[in-house]
Amino acid sequence: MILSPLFPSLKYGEDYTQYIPRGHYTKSGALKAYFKSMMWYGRMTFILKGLEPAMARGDTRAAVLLVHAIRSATVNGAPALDAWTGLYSPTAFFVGRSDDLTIFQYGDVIDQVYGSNATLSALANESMLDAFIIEASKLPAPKILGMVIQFTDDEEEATKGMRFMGQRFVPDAFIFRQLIFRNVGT
Amino acid sequence: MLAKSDEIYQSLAGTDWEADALRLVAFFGVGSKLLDDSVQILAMRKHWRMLSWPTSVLPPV
Repeated sequence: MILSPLFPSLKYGEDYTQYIPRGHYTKSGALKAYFKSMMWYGRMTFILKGLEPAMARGDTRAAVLLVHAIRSATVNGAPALDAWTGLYSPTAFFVGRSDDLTIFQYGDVIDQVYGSNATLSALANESMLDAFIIEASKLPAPKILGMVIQFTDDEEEATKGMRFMGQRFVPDAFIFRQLIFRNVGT
Repeated sequence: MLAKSDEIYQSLAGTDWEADALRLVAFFGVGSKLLDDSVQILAMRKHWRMLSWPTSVLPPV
């Protein structure tokens, strides 16, 4: 575990061994690059409240800007959201939906709090960000623990947040999670 | 997304959201570099020290 300079809200840092390509992703340079990039987008979390609230607030600012970016960007002349969906949907079909909060869930809360089609200057508003955090806190927490926390930490506060290409809800991982501490004794 | 986040960062320069806008550039910068090492992220190098991050993580040009 090494602290991430980009995500200081991850109190215990990031496990960079997860970026070592494995399985069929080792078969070509392109697959290795795809694996590492998707791992980055799937693991790094824009924490909503977190164990370090001031840093998590910075994450949420960045997440709000990210949603604005993908809503306004284009890829080869088409909306970037379409490109994102084109990548997400097949993997959701084969592996499962995101267990983390997604750009669509954050987008819905942004529309609710700021109004639809909010401009960049309207989004960059600290008091509105407070309202956003309150509303986004009502969204579900991940069901599978996908990062390192202490056993004394509040799991929901420590882990709830948006991931660009979140970790998937895999039933066997969920079941296994129910069978280990804290759900059962040591 | 890297270009768009850079555009957003430029728009928010001088505001309280500037540093986190730069973090977003860096987020897509890392993802882009992992996918294609030839990607250039000049804004990150230009403004890196604004965030007081260690020079050991300064991206190469």
